[in-house]
Amino acid sequence: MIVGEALLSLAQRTACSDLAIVGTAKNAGKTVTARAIMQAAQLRGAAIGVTSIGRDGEAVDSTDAVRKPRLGLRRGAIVATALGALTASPAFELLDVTSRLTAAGKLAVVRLRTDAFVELVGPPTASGVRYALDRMRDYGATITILDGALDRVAALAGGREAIVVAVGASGVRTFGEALDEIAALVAKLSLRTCDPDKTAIRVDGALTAARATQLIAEYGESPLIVRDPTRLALTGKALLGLLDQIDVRVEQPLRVIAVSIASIGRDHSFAPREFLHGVARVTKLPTFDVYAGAAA
Amino acid sequence: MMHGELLDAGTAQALELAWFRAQLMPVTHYGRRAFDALRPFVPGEEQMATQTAQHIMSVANEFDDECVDALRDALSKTPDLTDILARISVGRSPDDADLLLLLRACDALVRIDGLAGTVLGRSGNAASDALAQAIEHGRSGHFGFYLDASFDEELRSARDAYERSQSAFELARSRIAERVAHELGRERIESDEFIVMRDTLVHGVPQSVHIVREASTYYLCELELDDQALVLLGKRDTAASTLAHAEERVRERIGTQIRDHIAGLDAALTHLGAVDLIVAQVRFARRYACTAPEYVPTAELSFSEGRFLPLVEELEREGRRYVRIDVQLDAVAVLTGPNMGGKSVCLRTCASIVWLSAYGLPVPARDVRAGLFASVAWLGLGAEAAHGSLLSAFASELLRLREILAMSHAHGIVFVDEFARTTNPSEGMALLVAMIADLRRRGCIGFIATHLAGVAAAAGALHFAVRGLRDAPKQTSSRELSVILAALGDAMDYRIVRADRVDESHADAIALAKLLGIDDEIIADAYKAFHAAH
Repeated sequence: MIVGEALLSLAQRTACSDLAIVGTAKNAGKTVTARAIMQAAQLRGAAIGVTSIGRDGEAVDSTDAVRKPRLGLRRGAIVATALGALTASPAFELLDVTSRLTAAGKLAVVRLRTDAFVELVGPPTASGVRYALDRMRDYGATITILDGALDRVAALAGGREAIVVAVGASGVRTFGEALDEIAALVAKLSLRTCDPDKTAIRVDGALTAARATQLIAEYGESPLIVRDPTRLALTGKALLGLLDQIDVRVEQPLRVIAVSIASIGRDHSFAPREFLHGVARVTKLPTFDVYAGAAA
Repeated sequence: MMHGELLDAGTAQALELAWFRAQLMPVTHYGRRAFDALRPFVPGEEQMATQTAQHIMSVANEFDDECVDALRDALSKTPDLTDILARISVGRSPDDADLLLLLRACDALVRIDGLAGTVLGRSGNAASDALAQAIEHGRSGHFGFYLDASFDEELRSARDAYERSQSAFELARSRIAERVAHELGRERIESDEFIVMRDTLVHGVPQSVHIVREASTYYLCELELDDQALVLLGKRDTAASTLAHAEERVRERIGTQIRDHIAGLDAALTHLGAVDLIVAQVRFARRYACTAPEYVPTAELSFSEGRFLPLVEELEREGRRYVRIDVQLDAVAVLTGPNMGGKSVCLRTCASIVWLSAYGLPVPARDVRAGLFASVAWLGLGAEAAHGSLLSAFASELLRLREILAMSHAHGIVFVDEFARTTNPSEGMALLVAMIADLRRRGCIGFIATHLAGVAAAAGALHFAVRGLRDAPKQTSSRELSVILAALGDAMDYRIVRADRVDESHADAIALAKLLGIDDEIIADAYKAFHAAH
């Protein structure tokens, strides 16, 4: 099993040549998964384009000073990142310095002329991300890979990217709790597009637990529509309970195609095989473990 | 091109100078710098103003719209090198992004010279040519830059050595990874850290695998480099360091070349700014069919077919027609006419032509004779001072008048739009008459638009008037303002003539009230009262 290959093939079966890897938390294996896909794509001879939503890919996590897996790329890769994030050596081929801004200065588009490590500091906005992806395609990228944290996933709503959700063992206490959280998250991110011919209640802004209760009391079990999956401000069992009761649809869906897991967290870990199969069972999506080279 | 030297902020606001500035704004940093440095010509500089305006018109005649657009496009691609050149001038090496932008600036100079060099003179010079040549090795594709090995033999060999050492290390590492993967029964190891399930191990943990963490069912591992791979890694790191030094040396050398030519490059970019400035002026002149004024050493303004461009554009957007006006002004004159008859527009037309002329710019009118004025001032509607609710409208106007009189001097021109409309009419008229006398004493000319009767006669001033309604406007049942305004526009004769040629018995204000839907009974009573008084 080569996980990067499998994820790439899965994306291409859904006619997507743009992939986004979004992580639920730190140490969810987002960069490891992204790197596996990049490696597979480059081994296939594809010209890859890589960027991020906001900051990612630094050697040391800038928020908690823990060493992170570095994003090493092969020559030929195209990267859209902040000018200020580029190292002086080995020199990159600068394709463009755009007027778009990132947290570390202007967005530059570069091509690697030799294997190198890069820090990704992409545009923070949806339009900026689209711009970066388009520019990389202009310069010849045939597959684009976007590295992005879950809290910025709204930027992908309604987009063309196939999304891989990276989930980890960090931040939860028990195995059961972890599976509940992951099931709810994937269900939320996978909400289907609304049918314009069907009557439904449109909810502006966030759909909170209190608001959902109020809407159910008022409209019974009428379907609800929110703008995009991130508008559901419920998690875990509360969210799963709501989705059991009510048909919730979105105007701008996300295209979640798979889940990748990192069973070994910084604070505690789960048995890799059980975690892999448990996640696959609750999400009903192809699930992969890059670390173990396994799939379920 | 600041308003401070010729007119104040209130006058700029009344004239919608922000609109004019936007139309005349160059696209490059260097052009904007030249634009900001523009100063109005002062009385006595008529010849220089003439040369400037005629030069713009001659360039406007040389270029067609396509050429102007191509020039603007080329100019817009010129980066601002100010910060880069400042850093390099104090001894810093350029980084690759700096060199990319320098290359683009050199390209822009070449392209602009190709489009306009024969008409506007060459911006590029020996310095920019030398720099372009120095960094040309880095050109990559149409727009990119790469610190290519062709810059320097040392760089080439350092890069080759790095590539070889990197490949050798990767090969050694891959061999280890492949062997480990094979021994673990996997196709590939895809991450630095990887998991090995204990129950899959037949012959124990393979060689070259370091166990990071041990659990009851699995190991968390990472690849361990063997001695050969470690030696190759050391060589790779040494080669990377050598490459970094070689790259930096090339950047330093290019930095020195740039420093040697910095004054010349600065001159080229300054010239490019001048080209950008005149291209913006030419574009304005062509777009709005402007003509060069004839400058006269006296305080006067006359033109035919004058337009106030912001209004022309607004009307065009609504599919309506702008009526061009003729004006002759060589003293303080009074302008009267009906509401919505274009008095304010007439004043704005005059004032904007004065302002454009002052900068030696072609103007949107024909047969223009214009003096150069030391100041342009606007009082009344459109230049209200913000004094909050502490002052009445009239008191605010008086404060503005005080400011204008403090600023106005000989060779000034003053435009007054319905000053004192909110006070007692007889006292308002008296103040206007006194103001006209004061402006005359100061040697100013001006145009005073008012509804107050008898000002021109009492002040002994020239009296112009808007011709006004030809006939009663065609009544419309529509409540749409645009329809009503169109009906009014069709009936109104906006031309400015001597007042003795205007029949003022039309009761245009009452006709306007009727058109705007005021109750018929009120309109009938108003006509009755009007005819009784006349």
